[in-house]
Order: sequence, then C-alpha cells, then structure tokens
Amino acid sequence: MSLIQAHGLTFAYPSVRVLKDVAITVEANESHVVIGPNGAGKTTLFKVLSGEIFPQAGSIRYDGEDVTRLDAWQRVHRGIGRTFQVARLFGEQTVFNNVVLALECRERINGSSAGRWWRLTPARALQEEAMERLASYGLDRRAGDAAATLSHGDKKRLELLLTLALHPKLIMLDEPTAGMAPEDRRAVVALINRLREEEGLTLLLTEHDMEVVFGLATRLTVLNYGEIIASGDPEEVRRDARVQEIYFGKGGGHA
Amino acid sequence: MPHPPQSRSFGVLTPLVAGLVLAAFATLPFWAEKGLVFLAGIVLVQIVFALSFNLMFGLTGLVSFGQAAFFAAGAYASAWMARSAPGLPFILSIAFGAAVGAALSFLIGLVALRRASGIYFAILTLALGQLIYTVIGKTTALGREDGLIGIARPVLDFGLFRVDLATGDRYYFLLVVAAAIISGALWWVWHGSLGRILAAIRQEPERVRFLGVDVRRHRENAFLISGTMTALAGALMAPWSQIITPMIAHWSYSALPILFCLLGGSARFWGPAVGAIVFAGLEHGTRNMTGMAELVVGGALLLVVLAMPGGILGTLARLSGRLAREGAR
Repeated sequence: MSLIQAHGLTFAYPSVRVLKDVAITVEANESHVVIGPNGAGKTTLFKVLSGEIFPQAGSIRYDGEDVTRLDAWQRVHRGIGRTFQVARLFGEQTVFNNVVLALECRERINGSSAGRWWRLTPARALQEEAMERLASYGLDRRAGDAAATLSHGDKKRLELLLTLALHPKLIMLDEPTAGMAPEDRRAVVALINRLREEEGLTLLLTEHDMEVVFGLATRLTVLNYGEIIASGDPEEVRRDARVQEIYFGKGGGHA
Repeated sequence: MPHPPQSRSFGVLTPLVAGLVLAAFATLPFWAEKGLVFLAGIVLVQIVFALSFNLMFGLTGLVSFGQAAFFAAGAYASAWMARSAPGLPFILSIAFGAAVGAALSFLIGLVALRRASGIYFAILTLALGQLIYTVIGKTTALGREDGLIGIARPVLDFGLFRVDLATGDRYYFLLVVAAAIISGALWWVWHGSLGRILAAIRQEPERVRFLGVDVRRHRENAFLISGTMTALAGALMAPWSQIITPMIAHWSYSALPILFCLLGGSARFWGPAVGAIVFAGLEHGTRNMTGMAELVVGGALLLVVLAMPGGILGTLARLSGRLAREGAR
C-alpha cells in the first residue's frame, strides 16, 4: 500500500526552479532514502511533502487523502512526523519539559483532555510517560538540563523522541546522522531499522553518508537538479549508469 | 518517579513579595497623601496594561506597537456607554469596553498575524493603532481632539444596598481589587498550558508546527486575550482620571508598556509590574527637579537597559542563582 503518492511536484523560487515535475511514492513500512548532490532539491522536496511550503503545481496524496493544500500541522494530525537537518528544540526549556510539551500536543490532537484545562501543571501520567521515554533513549540523566546544553547527537535524539511521542505513521528525517561521530551513526541506523521492523513505521529520509544509506534503505531515490533520475532497489540504483556518472562518478562528487 | 528539578528562580519569595506589594497598594489611602493615591491608581491600571501587553511580547516574542489603541478603545467605549445610558450597571459599561477591545484585537490580529514576521507585525500594529488614534480625534461623539471630560465615577447597585464610588477613596479600592483579579487571570494564562505553548512558539515555531499545533491561531488567541485585557485596563481608568483624550491612543502611549517590560524584565510574568512601579517611583521622585527630571529618568532607564539585560527581575534572578550556587559549594 502506498502511504504517499506525489505527482508533478513543481517548486520554484523567483530565480531558480528547485523541483521539476517530481513524482515520488512511499510504500508503507519502507525505508525510503532520497540522495543527491548538494542543491539537488532534497530539502525542498521534504518541505513540500511535509507541508512546510506548498508546491506551485502537483498533488500529494497521503493515506488515500489529498493533502496538497493542508498545512504542516494538519498533516501532523494525520500521522506525519518530521525532524530537521539542525535539530529544532525548545532550548530554554528543560529536556523534560520539551518531552512533556510534545505529549501535551499529542493529547490535544487526540482530543483527550490533557488534565483539566485550568490546571497549571501537566497531568501526572504525562510526566511519568515523559520520564519513561527519556529513560529508553538514555536521556533521563539530562532531564533537568536546558535542551540547549545537550550535545549535537543528543539534540538529534531528543528531536526524534519528540516526533515519535506523537505516534506518527510516517516520519521524515532530514539528514538524521549529519555531524555525528561514526559510532553514533551506527546507533542511529540500528534505531531506525528497529523502528521500521518492530514498530511498523514508514520512513522517508535524506542522507549524505553512504554507509548509513545502504545500512537502512529499502528503496533509494536519486534527485539531481530537481529531477528524479532513478528510484528503486538500492543495489540496482547504485549500478544505474546515469547515477554512476553524476553521483558516484569521476571526482567522487559529494557523497 | 525520578522528577527533574523545576526551574523556579525565586521559589516562595515571589508570592511573598507580590502579597506585600498588594498590601501596600491596598492600605495606601490610610498612610499616603491624596496625590500619591491618585498616582497609585494610575500605576495599578498601567500594571494591568503592561502585563496584558507582555502576554504577547514576553511569551510569543512579538512586539505590538499599537497596544494603546486597545487601551483607548476600552476607555472610550466604556465612557461613551456610561454617558449614553446613565442607568446601565457599571459592570456592563466596563464589559462593553472590553468587548470593543476584543473585537478590535481580533480584527487587527487577523491582519497583522498573517505573516510570521516580527517586523511585519510591529509595523502593521503601529499603522492600525495610529489609524484608530486619528479616528478618535475626528469623531464628534468622542469629543474630537478635546476628548471626554467629567466622566462620572459610578454607583454600584447591589439590590439591597448601593455603593457610591464617587465618595472618598472607594473607586481606588475597586481598582486594587480589579487589578488583583485581572493580574491573577493573566498569571494563570502565562503559566498554564496555553502559556507553555506560546513560549515554545517563541523559541521554535517550526517545531511547534510539527507537533501538530496551528501556530497562527495560537498567536491570534494570545493577541485577542492581550487586547481584551488591555481594553479592560482602559475601561477601568476612565472613571479614575475622569478625563480621557486621544493621547491615550497615540503610539507614544504604546511605548509605555514596552518600556515597563524592558525595565522590569519581559521574560518573567511580574517583570512589567516591577517596571511600572519603578518608573512611577522615578517620575514621582524627580517631579520637583525642574528641567532635570527627564534627564534623570532617561539616564536611569538607559543604565538599566544597558547594564541589566533581562531587566531588574532578570538581574535579580541571576544574582540569586549565583548566591545559591555559591551557598551550595
């Protein structure tokens, strides 16, 4: 079953066309990685698919529904989650309060009252759930610290935790291992594979590191100058002549 | 459950000081001269004005340069209503003032919050605020440039007995009670779940959006509450000053709450209240220095803004935090 079916996506800034008639399909429970040289339009594709910006042409269906004109927050209500290249957190708040806020947002989406509306403190059950979730990511020792003081890798993990707290069906991860040390990268690959295999999540990712790409991709799409030049089984895409030429070709390009 | 420490800088001190300040305001007519009582009444109104403004400024990080328009809308609407329908209960003319402020802030919010840019919001609120200033100054029913004069202090009718607020300091006591109630309500909004979401929006709006929150709608709601409470402050002031002129809608009057916030500290709920009290104290203390007063007040403000980032409360919090760390060592 296709979770996302997008056709004819076009997006242009005044001086440059970033996406040219892009079609992409994301099947349920796949780990779909989009690669391409810098400036190929990966992040713009992400923005369009997640509803951060609207395309000038094209349509996006999610789970059988046309979501082309729905804003990002409405797509989140339907089960799409998203992380950013540089983790976006509430830096002044404690790590704990970051998670509690995400859980409160989930309760609002579900329409269940997150405690009585006049209450000043979050419901006790949410506070406990926040600590459990932090513990399962090894972040519980930092619970009382401001999120801004976390290391780069911990920030990315916390952002993923916030996104997962909303129980999404599809998560879109923009460069989940960017700037990480090799052992942290391997940990992220293991985590993402576990999310897909054990929790049935569907993933759409962009990634630069080829070891990571081939460590988790079940489908690979190559974007170049705003056009998709190959899409399919990762090993087949790797052997594709055009991909070889423009991506893995002479000079090495930017992996 | 391992519970993380809450980041409360002042702990039990805040309610203690707030209670003492409230007691000082409430007992003022018994120990201070009449001029000071009048000034204190104005300060109470300005505290409500600044706390309402800071709901937008401190929480969502957006500066409304037209906040005085809501203040004037509340003052003029309630005074006009009280004059047009003399038999109307006081609470209804006040409510009318707040309702006009609510309608106005709803409409201005729809326009000014269409884009998520702070400068766009600041300029649009400034322009729309000046538009309202001009309209008031040209409306005959509102006294044009002269404003409304001789606004009567009301009589509260409780059925069994009547309280004439025109006698003695009774209207002042009403101001103390009203300011305390409104401040309490604003405190609750600031610290409740809406306040937490607004603070998160200020820090990282895109993250909040991707937690499934309609960011624009929340900003509009915050602006609506802020504008309504500001109008309420204006409505309460009219019978106290007994004269209102278009100057209370002018942009320079919008600068007052901004000043109070910078002075007291916008990151904390009570910051603007501290700012309003300190500013009034400065003005009152220098009132006899002919020609020098502005210089002294201006110099003191400059000193606070430059030397105390985070305002008076922000600096106190840093100092007390440092003391606590040294004490623990």
